[in-house]
Amino acid sequence: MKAPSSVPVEAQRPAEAPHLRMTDIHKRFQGVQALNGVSLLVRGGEIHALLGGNGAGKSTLLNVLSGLVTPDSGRIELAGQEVSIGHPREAQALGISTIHQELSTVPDLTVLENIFLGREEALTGKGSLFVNRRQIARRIQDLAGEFGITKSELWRPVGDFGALKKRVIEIVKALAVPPKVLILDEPTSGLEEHEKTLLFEHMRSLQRRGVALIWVTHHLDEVFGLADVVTVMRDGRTIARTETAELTPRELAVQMFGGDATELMEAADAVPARRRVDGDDAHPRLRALNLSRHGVLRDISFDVERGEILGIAGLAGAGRTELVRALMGLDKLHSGRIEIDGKPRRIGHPKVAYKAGLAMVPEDRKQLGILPDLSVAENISVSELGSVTAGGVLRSRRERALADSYIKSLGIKTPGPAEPIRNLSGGNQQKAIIARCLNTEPSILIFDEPTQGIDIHAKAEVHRLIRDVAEKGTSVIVIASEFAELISLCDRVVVMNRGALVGEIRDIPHRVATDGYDAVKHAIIDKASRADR
Amino acid sequence: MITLTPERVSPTTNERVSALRVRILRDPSFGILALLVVVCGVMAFTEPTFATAGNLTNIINAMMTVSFLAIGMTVVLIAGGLDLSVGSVMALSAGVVASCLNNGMPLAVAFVAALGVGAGIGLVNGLLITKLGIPDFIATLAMLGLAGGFLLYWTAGVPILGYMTDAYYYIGGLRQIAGPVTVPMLLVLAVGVAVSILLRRTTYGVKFYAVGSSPTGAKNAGIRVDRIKIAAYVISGLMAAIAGIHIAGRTTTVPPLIGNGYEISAIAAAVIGGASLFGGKGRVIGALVGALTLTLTRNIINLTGVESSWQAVVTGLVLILAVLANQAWSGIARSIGASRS
Repeated sequence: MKAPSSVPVEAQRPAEAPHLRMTDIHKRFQGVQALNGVSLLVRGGEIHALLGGNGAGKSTLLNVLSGLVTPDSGRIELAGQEVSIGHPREAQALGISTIHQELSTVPDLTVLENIFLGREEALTGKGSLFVNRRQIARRIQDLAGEFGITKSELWRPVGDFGALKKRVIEIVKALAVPPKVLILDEPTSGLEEHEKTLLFEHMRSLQRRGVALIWVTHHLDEVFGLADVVTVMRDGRTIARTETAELTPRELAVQMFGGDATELMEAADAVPARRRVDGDDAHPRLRALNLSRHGVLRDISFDVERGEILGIAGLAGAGRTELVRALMGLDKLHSGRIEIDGKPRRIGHPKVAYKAGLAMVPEDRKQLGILPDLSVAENISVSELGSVTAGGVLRSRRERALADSYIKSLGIKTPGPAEPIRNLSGGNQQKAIIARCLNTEPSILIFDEPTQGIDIHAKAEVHRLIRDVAEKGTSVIVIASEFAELISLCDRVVVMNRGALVGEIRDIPHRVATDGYDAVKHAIIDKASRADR
Repeated sequence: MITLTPERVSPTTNERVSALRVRILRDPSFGILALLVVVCGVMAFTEPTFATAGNLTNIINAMMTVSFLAIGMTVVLIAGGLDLSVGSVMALSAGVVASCLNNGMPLAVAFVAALGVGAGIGLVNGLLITKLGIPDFIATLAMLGLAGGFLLYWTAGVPILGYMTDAYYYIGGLRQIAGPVTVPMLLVLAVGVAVSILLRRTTYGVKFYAVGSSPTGAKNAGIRVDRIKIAAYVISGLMAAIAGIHIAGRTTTVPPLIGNGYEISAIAAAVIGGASLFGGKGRVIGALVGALTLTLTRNIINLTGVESSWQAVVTGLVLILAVLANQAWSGIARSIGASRS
């Protein structure tokens, strides 16, 4: 296949008639009005950003369009004709393709099978019962190759790969059969810079071919570079539909969160005042010495002081998550030692880690963090049940009281402590997991990608929470793929590359003031990617 | 960007061979098969009657019934279900064939009736599970009782006899058609190849794996998950009916409890062959290897004169051992596959 840039530019921008028009869509879930008269108008050849905070109803609207949710009322027109979309199959038949936010690949099938699953007709020819996998592989291997999927990887089960590759596979799947309408629900989360760039190039190329692209993202900076039109949703309603050229980021934030929220976000963006870090005690809070794990971690040593926020930067696969997993006793270390407050500790199991004062907010909230069917209260108390028992018996009143206090202090938005946590928005689930960790009264708190998949408002709140925790003397370790996040949050950043620590950026708030933001960012990126590609 | 000379699109022969090797090595039933070869080798030396043509034919003939059931069970397991009703459905189908023949109907009509009963019960299972939301385990457990109980009531507990015809002796496998070859052997082969092609070579078959591996992912990809699940239960019902037709011809009587315990053998065979109770995994060849393992175990117990009361214990141990061998093998195989790419 040609590179996206080789698509003829003269490809005509198709008719001015709106390609997709959704009018007055309503949907109610068990007493919650998720969509309350939403309208959306997308033209062919348009990149249309759909924005809004968590819980604004974007996902529900997209699910209506991809056939996963049937609306209670409302009208959907595609190229001027009213359509009803009762099942993803019908959406696909209409040329509506979706890159889902939640990974929806099928683990036991190979990469190739995942790509052609449900699109057999388009990829194997109409009415053909038999699949010729090799023929399909030939058709898609160039596209796959552009996204870094090798030919041999096409034949391996998707379950062998990590979250990042799964997302890339979904992108290739959506692009393998050129769609008429492409829905991208936070397609870039977790992607590396060059993969993002590649995806954006493909989005532009599809745009030139007249495809209508509906794009949900929390990254407003990306919106201004790419989107033609922005529709903002709030509380299940459409707030505004504006040409991007006529918008400023500030106006956009006001549309998304109302007037009061912008202050909080600006506060979060501002570099915090220089915080002192106590280095004068005899021992650091955490000292890691020569930690190694075969093939994953190489001879890693670092300290974390009391009340310090230490960032760990690095590209995917650099070993960041593996490092904190080893600290938490989730993976075995083959050599090295860990000292906490000067005392050597052997951490062979998460239980020991909790006892030693470590706690972690894991990377993948949905899979590793929350217990979806349990209540908010149970999710908060589960790591330290001692706090809600009396004589070994669970006291639900204490549990509720404990949950209530965290709901208040962290601002968790929930109908009540008894609500199953799966009903909460992403940001609020994240806060509940943080509450669970705080409840173990940790002296060292680890955050692995604390703000992935939550909106900028919730993100600002989580940042403030992390600063508060550190202010009270807890040592914090943060892993984040976004350098901006590390720079604005951390006192110090260490950089990992291929399982080893390759650099350290000290005094970040000070440096940002003197060297400027971009200089610090480039220093980190440079170290993280050196000798890598 | 400068256009380069077109890259080779087809993989080199070398790549292809190594990909094939990885795929064979990664197949879970490969580990069991290796184990069986070793066991058979040892038996051939220690037990003179084992490696005789007569005994080997016995083993093959004895594994037919479970083979049919295990193929159907594998399809259900792949699609993420579990069918506990197969023993009863087999017995009921056998009863239907026998009583049709006793009522003077031609063989073909009797077979079609039995297949209809099997497919019908499979359809009901599928509908109960997908449309009424009854868990697989419960729905098919209920059907195990319903179908078995109905046969018991219908026959009043008395075995059905005297239905055999000349042709049925061939179809049941009591008479050979050429050398040691019987109709059931050819039928297992034909059914096995057909289901295998369905699962591995058609666009339809991939969907069974998809539904069992991740129902959400499958739905997002545009698959009608319910239909696939129902189809899996219908296939399992059909296989149970074929097993019923076969067993009625082989035993020449149909006692009402003829199917007792067969669901367990079918699940055991499928799981030994690499099917997963969590869905998304399994192959027809694995089901056959599993059926062979169970039958071989029984045969060896009989030959070595182990007291028959130990049979269940040994079979249980073999099941655990076989699954452990599978897991160990897929661990080894994964590292082979990983080091290759």
